[in-house]
Amino acid sequence: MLGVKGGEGVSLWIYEMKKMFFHQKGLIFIVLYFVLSIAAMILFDKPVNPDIERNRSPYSFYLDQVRGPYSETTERFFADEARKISDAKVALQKATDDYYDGNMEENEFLAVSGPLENILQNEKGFKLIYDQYTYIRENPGNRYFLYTNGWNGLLSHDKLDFLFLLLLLLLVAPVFGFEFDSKMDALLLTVKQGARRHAMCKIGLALLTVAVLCLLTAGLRYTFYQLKYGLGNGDYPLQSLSYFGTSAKSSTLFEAFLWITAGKLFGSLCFAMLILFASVCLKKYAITLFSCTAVILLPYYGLPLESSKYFLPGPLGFMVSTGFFRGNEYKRNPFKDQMDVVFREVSFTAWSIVFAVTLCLSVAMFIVILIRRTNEWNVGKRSYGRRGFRLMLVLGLAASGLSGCASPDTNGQRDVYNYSSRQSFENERYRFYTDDTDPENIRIVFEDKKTGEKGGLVRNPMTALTRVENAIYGNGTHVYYMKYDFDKPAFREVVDRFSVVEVDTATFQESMIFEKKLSTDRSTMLGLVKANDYDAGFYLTISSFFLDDRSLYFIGQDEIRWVNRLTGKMSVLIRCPVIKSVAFDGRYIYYVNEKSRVVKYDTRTDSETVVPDIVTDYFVLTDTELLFLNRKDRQKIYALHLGNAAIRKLTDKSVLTFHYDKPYIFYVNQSDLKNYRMDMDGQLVY
Amino acid sequence: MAIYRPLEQRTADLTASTTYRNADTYLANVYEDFHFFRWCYVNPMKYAYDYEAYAHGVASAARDNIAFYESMGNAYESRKNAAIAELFEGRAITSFSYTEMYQHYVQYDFSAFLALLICLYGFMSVFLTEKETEMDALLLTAEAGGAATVRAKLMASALFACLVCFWFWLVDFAAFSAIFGSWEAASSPLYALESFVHASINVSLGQYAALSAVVKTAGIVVLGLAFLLISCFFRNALIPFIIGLFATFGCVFMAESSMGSGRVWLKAINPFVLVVNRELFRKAEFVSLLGYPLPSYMAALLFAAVWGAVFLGGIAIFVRKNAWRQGGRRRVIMDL
Repeated sequence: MLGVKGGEGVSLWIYEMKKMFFHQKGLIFIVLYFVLSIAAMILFDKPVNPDIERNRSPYSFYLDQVRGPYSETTERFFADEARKISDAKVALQKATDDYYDGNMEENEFLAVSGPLENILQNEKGFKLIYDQYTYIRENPGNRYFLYTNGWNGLLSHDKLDFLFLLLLLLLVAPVFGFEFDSKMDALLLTVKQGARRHAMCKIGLALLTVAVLCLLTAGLRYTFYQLKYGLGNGDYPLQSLSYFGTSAKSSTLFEAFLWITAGKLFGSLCFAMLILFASVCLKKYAITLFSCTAVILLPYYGLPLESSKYFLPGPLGFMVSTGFFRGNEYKRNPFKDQMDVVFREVSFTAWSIVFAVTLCLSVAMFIVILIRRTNEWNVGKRSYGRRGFRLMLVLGLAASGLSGCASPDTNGQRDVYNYSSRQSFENERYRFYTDDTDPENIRIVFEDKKTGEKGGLVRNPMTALTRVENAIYGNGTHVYYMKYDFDKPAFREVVDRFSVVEVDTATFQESMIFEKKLSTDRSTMLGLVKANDYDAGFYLTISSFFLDDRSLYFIGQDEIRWVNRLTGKMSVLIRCPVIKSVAFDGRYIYYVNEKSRVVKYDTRTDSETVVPDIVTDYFVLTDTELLFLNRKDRQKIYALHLGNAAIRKLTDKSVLTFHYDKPYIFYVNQSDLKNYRMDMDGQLVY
Repeated sequence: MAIYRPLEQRTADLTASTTYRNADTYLANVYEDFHFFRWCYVNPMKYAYDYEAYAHGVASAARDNIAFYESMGNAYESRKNAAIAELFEGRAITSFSYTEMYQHYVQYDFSAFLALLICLYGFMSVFLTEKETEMDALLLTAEAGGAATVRAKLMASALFACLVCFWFWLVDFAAFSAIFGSWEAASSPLYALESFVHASINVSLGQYAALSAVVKTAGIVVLGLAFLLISCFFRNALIPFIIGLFATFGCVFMAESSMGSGRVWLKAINPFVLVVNRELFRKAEFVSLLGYPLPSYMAALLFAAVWGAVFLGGIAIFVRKNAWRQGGRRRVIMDL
């Protein structure tokens, strides 16, 4: 490379580029960066509002009708639609009752119920759009209806791209630093081309590379969110996203994206300049890298108020940039009974000052670099082949460390779960149930069937800061319960974790089979791991659960959700206005839908079929039969054989409720409200 | 209680006057008084008063469990409950004190991040300055070169880490004491803090502050050894620094996601957990080591020791390779 003899400006550029991208392995790092960031986006990107993704079609059904600005028409639409839905619910219930009571013909019923069902099938979507409506109604002028997950993912965060930061350090630090390593600087002063021009060329190349990378990254992110979610309606005001809800700046979404990208570009260029400046002044890699990372990371993680970093002159605020568009935000402090500032808006004047100071600093750094005329290059004959390999090795190890191991696939017979008996379970040796005789101390207990010995199922002696829910699920010797762990960092308890615990009742050994972090506001160290508010909200409303080898099924207020035991991925399996009766036999989930029909859902093929000829609101599944209160025959107990679908009647009396406790059925007679016991043939046993 | 009870009665039906700065109130109005006394005095006092009974309850429940698990043939759980019973036996908070300073002090770990960054920077040049000038080859020919130099370097690094850490911990402690204006709670037991209700050791808050400082330092020394090992593979500081930073963030990420988790092994295996050691001492958790219950902090310290040994071994191996190439000084290697 000492062959550059001068006069050839272009070749100087080419040599510098060659040095940067090939000798210093810049190209490998760039490729690695893009591979890693694409992988991270694919693996770790979660929708901001997962409920919308889980209910995409009912949600878009409504969104398509109201998309755009708020108007009188939309307000009327929401009022009408809410009324329509509640009316439809009542009408459908009435029609169902009439039909099953024999007051209505089937044709008539189908004619009435069809349109009503169509209205109700998008109810969940209406709830979601209504949430958006309540947000928009606060300030209808600049908040529009649109699909937000794409734009929220692209804009609504103040995350620093850590990988990009590392890439900049890797690419820019050696531009001058590499030459100091081998003390080329003294030598270079003697070369004709090694004057100011060479330094300019180096700086220009570094800045150009950084600019191109920054724009590529922005383009990549835009493409990713465009493909994954769709970034429609870019001309809507920025305030349509709740993250920017209180912003005083008027801008459209797409403009905001462009401005933020421009801010990031400026920030990255300043940061590159800072690295160059530091490397020229400090001449050592370690101190250069340390000072540059400290300038970025310390204010990023250290400042208590989220908005402070935008008031600091320097590259950090611009590298994030989204905060310049946010408005003042407050949070209620329950102790002082007043509002605390969580985010202070960056006014245009403040922004101009910060921008001007940052720009001046960058220019000053540029001048200092030129004055010092650090104009040397390095031959660099060392072997770097192993570096890339080792980096790959380290990353590979890290990746393999993160991946889980597969669970054994067993296909044995599973015990039947019934929602109605979610607080009890029986296996060969024990009976488990919720003991609520002492209202102060409701707990899950076991009872030895032979000896009658009783004791608590949850043996953990340390009970403070833990809440065990009263729902259990059992399969063979294993019993599962769920609990919430709390933490009390200051005055108030905050929920920290949700977990499902397996108890092997042979030895009463507990083991954790599923965990989910729920704390959303507690800042732990650097705050790298945060739970999603929507997910956390769901975990707090779980009333019961059941599971198989691969999955957990949680019963919430109006839905059953499926969660992968390994990855924690969650999706909605069954939606139903009211969960009345649910049963699970290890493969099929049986539940009562809004028309009082029993639906059988196959968890392997994700398909569902309506069980014919049954109309009921309450059923119990046994190993071979489905016992139910027949709606069509004045709530008498019937049994459906699961194998041959034969239906037989068990009682001649109307029954209020019943439960099955092998081998007997216990029921409450509707006329005299007394408890009776009968065997499976319908014979009363006294 | 003489102050609190009337306040409680007056605010119970939410009809008391909210006049600002009444003559007979301490704060702005009677509700604020009520909340202030409730959150700052009554609830913590109640906790302190109830703790003895609670600890007794835990100990007796654990003792019940010993017999229960023995009858089930679960020796590990029985031993574990014996350990819990022993731990909780006789616990009580005898005096009520102002613990807010410690509440914040145990939650604070930004200074650890700073110390870690400084160590990352400091350790980068330990082996690399000589490599950059190719002095390492020359050093091996010297009498005190090789193993002795490496040993001296390691000692110096450890000393540097300890100095930096203790400086930070000292400044933290002094700053927190100054801000909250008291360290009167130093003699209160650790479980006087409500998030440490199941503290895994019976020490006082003052002792815990010291212990935590030592454990934190140990964590940072182990991570520092990792940085040293990484730096051994390279000839300049650029890439090892980046990898070190990346690895640090990886550790922080893992530690954060396993925080509060019931999967104790996962927590203990990460050396960074020593740096945020409240996670280890907050809750009496045990891992099974050959059927014997090992407290989580012991497990974490053991793992950290293993990691440290691995990193040291790695450094030794790498240095050996260098020495070998430079003309083989087998005895030096054996020393290492």
